[in-house]
Amino acid sequence: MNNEFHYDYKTVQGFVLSAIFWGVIGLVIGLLISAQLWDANLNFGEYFSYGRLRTLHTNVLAYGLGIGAEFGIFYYIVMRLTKRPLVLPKLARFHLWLFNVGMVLATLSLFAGMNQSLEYAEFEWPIDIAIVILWVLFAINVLGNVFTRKEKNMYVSLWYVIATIITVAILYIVNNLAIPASLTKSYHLFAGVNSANVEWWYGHNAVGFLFTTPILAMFYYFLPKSTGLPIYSHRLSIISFWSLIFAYLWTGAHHLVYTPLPDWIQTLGIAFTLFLIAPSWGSVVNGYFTVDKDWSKMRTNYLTKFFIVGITFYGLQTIQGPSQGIRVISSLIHYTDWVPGHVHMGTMGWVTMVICASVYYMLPAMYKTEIYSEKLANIHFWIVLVGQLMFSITMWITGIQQGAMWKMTNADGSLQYTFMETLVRNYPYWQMRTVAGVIFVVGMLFFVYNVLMTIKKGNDLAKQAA
Amino acid sequence: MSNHENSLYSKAVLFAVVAAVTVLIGTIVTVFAPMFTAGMHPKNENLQPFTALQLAGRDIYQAEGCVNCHTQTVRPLKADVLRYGEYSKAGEFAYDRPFLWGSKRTGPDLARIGGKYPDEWHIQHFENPQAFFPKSNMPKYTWLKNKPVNAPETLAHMKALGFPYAEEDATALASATQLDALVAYMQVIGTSVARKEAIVVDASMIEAANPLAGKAEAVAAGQAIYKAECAGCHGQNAEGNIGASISDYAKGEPADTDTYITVANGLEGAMPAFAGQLSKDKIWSVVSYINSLK
Amino acid sequence: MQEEFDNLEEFTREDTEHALPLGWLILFIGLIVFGVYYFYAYTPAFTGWSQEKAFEESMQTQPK
Repeated sequence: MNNEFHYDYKTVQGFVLSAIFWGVIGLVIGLLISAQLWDANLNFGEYFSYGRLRTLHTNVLAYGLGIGAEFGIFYYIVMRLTKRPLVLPKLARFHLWLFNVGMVLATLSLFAGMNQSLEYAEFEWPIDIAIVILWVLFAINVLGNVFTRKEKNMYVSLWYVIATIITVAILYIVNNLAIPASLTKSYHLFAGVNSANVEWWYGHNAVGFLFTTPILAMFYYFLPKSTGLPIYSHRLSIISFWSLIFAYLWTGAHHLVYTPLPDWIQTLGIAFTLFLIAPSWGSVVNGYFTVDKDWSKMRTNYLTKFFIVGITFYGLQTIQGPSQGIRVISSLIHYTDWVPGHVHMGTMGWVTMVICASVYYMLPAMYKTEIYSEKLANIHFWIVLVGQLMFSITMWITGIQQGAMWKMTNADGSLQYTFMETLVRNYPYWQMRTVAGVIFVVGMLFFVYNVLMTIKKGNDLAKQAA
Repeated sequence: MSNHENSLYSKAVLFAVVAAVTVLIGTIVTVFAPMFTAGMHPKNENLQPFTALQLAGRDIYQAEGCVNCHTQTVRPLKADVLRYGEYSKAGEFAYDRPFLWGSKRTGPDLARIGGKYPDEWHIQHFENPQAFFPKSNMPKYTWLKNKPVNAPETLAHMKALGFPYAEEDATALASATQLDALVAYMQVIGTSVARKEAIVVDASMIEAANPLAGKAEAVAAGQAIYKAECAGCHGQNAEGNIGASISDYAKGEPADTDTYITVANGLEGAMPAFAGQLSKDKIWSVVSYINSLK
Repeated sequence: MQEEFDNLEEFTREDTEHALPLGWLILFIGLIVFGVYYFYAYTPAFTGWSQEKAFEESMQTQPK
């Protein structure tokens, strides 16, 4: 019974449930702030004003849902691909608990306004230290497993896992270097232009190494597992991997186009950003050609469409993103709602889609049962797809509209619109976005229900067997 | 995978080292190396470190997440410069830890907010933004005026940053509210660069008399602009508030061109300029509306 | 109960293991070439272009 190939899945299960818990909180906050944008009366005092809640929304979803799910799913993938249980299962369990305690403290600290004002690195220094500890605990187990693996070769997913662990550590530690002024306040070690350059090197690569490489690790593992189709080209995987992780780190400056950052850094950032289309589409093409061997899988295997639609949005995202870096396009859409439209296509269409599909795959494997309902999973798929498309498209329309209105001039050289005139034209689109958000959240609730019922089913079966 | 035996992908430590080097190349070229060049640390000659009250205000700006909705960098683009003023220079931000340039303009850019309005405008606007812009979506920051600045904490922050402060700064801080601090910060943003409007109007550039004089629709259009842009300071019924009573002003029978130029260029430290954002026709219709008040 | 193994064979297709789709390869090389050109063209040290200069030029067309 308890031979070394009996994997301990309890930690994985704990992370999946934790990620869902934080995900629901983050989504509900998202709905509230989306409504605050078109009705300022929905700001309730200092703790529930937009400025604090928007910070909570991004952090709870990025750290709670995103990274929480990644911790769990990585433990699963790593155990499978190294063919051995975690080297330190008790440490992993401690990691799970510390993650949740840390999330509670982090959430409270943002409510209280402890905010470094660095995007995606808002947490103050004590929380930063806790996050570094969490990452080290995680790295010990993952790298420990990799170094003592029972399989000679490391599969593609493990490359992405290793790159994620190393790069996130570098990014997070460097950007959070700060001068502590008290227990709850610190100042960035870097000032002015330099501060901006460090922050967006971090900010863009946090997207790259928390929402691209980890999700690609899942994609390369779970697509073949759920379809039974092997990855089309190993060589394409290799070139895509190395060129992606090489090019990503040069690109942060595309967030700073037309700022006082030196021109050459901006230009280099834009050039490498455009190049990123190639490695990104390497994985997209590899995914398509993999399923090309048997497209009927889209019908016969309910998870295939999650992965194929997910990688499609990744493909769209990685064309839209680089094009936004180009100066002429940046000058139109930067600082407008186009950008949240872009971000949410990635997070809702790619990251969440692949995480959910990975969870759908893992649960039956871990609980030795079938998924509770494929039908509910299909409903989940279609509802979130509709919600996400409606969200992104309304944001793109209003973003272009606002960007254009900001620029338009009269014959006498004055601007055609005051700021308020450009702002109020967003309101109908922002209302539509709230509706889109509600649709998306309803879809996610189908997912949550399906997960909980599958776990219940698995536990009932285990009880019967015992 | 048979022909990948003994490759990089079977040597985990080597793989990790190669991956680390790969991600460090771009990092070093674009981030670490520039950090040690003077070009990344410019400072305007007349840029001063924040005072204790300004720093306390900046801390509040950070705590309230203002950066979520407001940028602090004017791009060297025509439309940005027309709307906000002179584009941002690298040397303005030497004391900004961190930079607060932001990434989204849900509200307007604030890089040139310092000195654009009088203090009282900010005080009333934080209390109730909708009194100035009825359709604004900015939250009301009503609690700031009731909360004192934490003076010892702020002085500890000044020490951590190495900013100089005198004894009287500390005493002034003890009686300040968070609102006072935030307003002090607002008023210093972007002031190390001389205020400069992209369009400055003089009498030679405009008609000698209001071309819209006598047109009822110009009065109505002017009133609509007044309600949206001017009523916050000058009162819903032109009775005056932070700014002067426009009814009284109109009764003094000012010359049309003087009224035009005041609206267009603003008044230093008291009233913003509108020439960049309102066309000639719009400004003339405001003049028509003001004339209708006498 | 013993776990099933993941065998690496199920992840890699033997017949197309070394394939590189031509269209993708053209994209890859094309973007490198374009990147080199772009970096050259928009770096002040090489061509004299700068965002300040571009701005000053755009303001020349500003009616007074």
